[in-house]
Amino acid sequence: MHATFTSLHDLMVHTKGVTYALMGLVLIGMVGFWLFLSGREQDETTDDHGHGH
Amino acid sequence: MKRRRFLEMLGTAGLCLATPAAATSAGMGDVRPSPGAKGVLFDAVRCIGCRKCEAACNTVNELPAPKKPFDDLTVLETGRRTDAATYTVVNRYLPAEGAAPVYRKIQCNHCLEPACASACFVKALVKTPEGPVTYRADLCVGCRYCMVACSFNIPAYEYHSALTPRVMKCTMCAPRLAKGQLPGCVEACPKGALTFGRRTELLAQARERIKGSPGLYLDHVYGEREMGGTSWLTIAGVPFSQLGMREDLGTASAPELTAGALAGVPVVVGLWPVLLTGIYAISKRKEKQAEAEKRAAVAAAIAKASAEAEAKLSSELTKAEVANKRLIEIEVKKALESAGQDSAREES
Amino acid sequence: MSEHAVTAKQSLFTPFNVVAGLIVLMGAVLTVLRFTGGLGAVTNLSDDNPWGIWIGFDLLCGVALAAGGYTTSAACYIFGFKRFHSAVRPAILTAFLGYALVVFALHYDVGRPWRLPYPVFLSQGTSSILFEVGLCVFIYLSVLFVEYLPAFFEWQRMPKVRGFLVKLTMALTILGVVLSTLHQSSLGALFLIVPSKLHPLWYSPYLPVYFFISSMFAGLSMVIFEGSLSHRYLHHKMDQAYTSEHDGVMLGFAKAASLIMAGYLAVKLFGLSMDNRWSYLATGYGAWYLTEIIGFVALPCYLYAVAARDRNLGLVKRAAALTVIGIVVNRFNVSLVAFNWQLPPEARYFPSLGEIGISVFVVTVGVLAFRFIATRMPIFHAHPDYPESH
Repeated sequence: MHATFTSLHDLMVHTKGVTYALMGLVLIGMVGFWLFLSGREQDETTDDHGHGH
Repeated sequence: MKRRRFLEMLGTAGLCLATPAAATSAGMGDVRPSPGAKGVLFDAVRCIGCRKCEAACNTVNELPAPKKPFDDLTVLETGRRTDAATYTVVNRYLPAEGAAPVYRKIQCNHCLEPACASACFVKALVKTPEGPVTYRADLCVGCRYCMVACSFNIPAYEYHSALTPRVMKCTMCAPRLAKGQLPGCVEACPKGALTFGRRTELLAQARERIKGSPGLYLDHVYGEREMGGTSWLTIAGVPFSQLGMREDLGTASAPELTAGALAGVPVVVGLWPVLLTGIYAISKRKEKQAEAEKRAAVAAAIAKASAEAEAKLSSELTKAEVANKRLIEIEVKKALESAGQDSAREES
Repeated sequence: MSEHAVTAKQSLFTPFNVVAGLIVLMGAVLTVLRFTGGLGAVTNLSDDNPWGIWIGFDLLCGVALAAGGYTTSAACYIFGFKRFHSAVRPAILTAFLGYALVVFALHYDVGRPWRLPYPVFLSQGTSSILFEVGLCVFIYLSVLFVEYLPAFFEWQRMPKVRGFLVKLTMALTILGVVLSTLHQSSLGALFLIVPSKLHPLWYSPYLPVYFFISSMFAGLSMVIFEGSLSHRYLHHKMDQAYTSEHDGVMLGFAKAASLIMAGYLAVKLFGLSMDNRWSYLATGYGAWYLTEIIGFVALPCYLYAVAARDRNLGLVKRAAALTVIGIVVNRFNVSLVAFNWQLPPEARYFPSLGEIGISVFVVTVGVLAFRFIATRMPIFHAHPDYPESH
């Protein structure tokens, strides 16, 4: 992982490339996490409304 | 400078959590400029404006023949720039009235951190570890952002090619360097105004010349720090601004100029969905609450109304009962009375 | 398909159709010239001025004015302004067509348009701001297409696909706002790399923020502007919900645009003071800068505010038109007028007739496509099968 680069530009191409890939994964992951986060709550709110939070 | 710009970027987007990115954009620890990188030193004091370098460049790079031959020096009377058929030009400058003319050679400066390469979205422009900035026509889309980005106005475009237009610029004769040859222009210079070598050594040599003849040279090596430094260096005896060279370019390189904006991108990707989902959840909750309140209010209103109706009904009922009783009583009374009358009639 | 019968009865040679036909014909001729003679055959572009109005107008203005898609859907679905609901579909359609036209126009501007997928699929130049723009525009165009599809499937009566797509609304809206934030701001960031070429009054580290904020009121104004045009010419296609909500939407958008413009003016002011640009205001460029800021931002901001207070719909429309012109002025200033300001006058750029011709052609294609879709599919009216969805 400790590659050296001969210019700041080369380093940026590398780091931004990795970051773009991670951004894609994070965006997909966030949808999943939101579904996990609010999955049960949805059921509760539908059958018993006005339940104090 | 870089840090200041970056902090401004942070402030602008209000993305205060991006601070770790500052370390990345300034993370020079992983960057080690290639020590053997080559460059060229141009000495404007030695240049006589013979255009032999232009001719050699044209031949070596197999560029189309110009309208006027290279030994026609009248072209020096007008200022020129590089174009699709010309990788290098020599211009004549008259620094002061009656002063001797000074010549300057223009070509790609082969920046250490090239703006063109930083701007290219297909990596068609590459800074090689050997020094030259090269171009891959097989990748180029032709967006011309490299030409916008270049502070030296060097890259040119084949505007009259319908299907295969290319960006055209000096390559420091990278193919010749690979074969161990000198760049065409350097080889052709009869006056030693062009020196090829390691950039570090060229810098030392330039300083020596300046130190050796302080009356002849100004104490500045153009390209040592301009735009983050260039592989092509220039020394001269008159201010560079009089040779058509920008002295206001600053020392920040292209990647440094864009690092802040690029650092903002992942922050937006990471936090915008959180922020927007939060706002969504809040507005949704408010809506639900409003709905629940509405429902409760309706229920209460119905309950109240029905209670009232019931009360009214029961009171009506009692009233009706009373009325009924009275009616019955009256009827009974009437019946009794009539019965009494009947019996009285019978008695009489 | 009954609409066909109706239009067929009218003569095809309405003044609108004749003018549009002539423009399309001109576009076809210029297209042939462009792809046989190269960019040099139809443009005034040069080595010093590599970007002309095909970037300054078709790309920069096109993207900014198509911002109505993300602003309207965000207001409705995320911020919960349900009364804007009837405005979402026309805004999404305008945005989708706007972006499609931007990409279409780029095919004229770039040297080898068939290579446009290269940055995304073949060789990713991730250090470039333009890579970010290209990637976002590519993904966002797909997102807008999917957001528009329910109208298409209602038209084609395919309820299952439609039902699935409608479930994605929230995720797509959020993704749309993320992508729009990124590429709207990045269009400004494109110029961060050339402090030496852009006039100091327009160059600022805040450029991405300026472009992002101005895209918001550009989008809102374009929805108002486009809505009032549609109201005049496509009135027969609108249902009760659209027409009754229309005035409320206009006033709501006017208020929002006015507020955002006030914020924009504030950040512009801070930009001047952060970089100590005051002295440039006394120059010729300064006068033009002040014209842009006062005449095309501060004035419409005030007009919007007055219009929202007085519930004056006529004034809302006029303010919207002025704002849209102001956005064009701003994008032209950054990409053309203040760009290369230090070059001598003879080296400066002015668009050729061919370039203007292609830009007019592109806009005409957009208007024709909008009319084709809005007269056939449920855009301004809810589909009878899905009264609630609209």
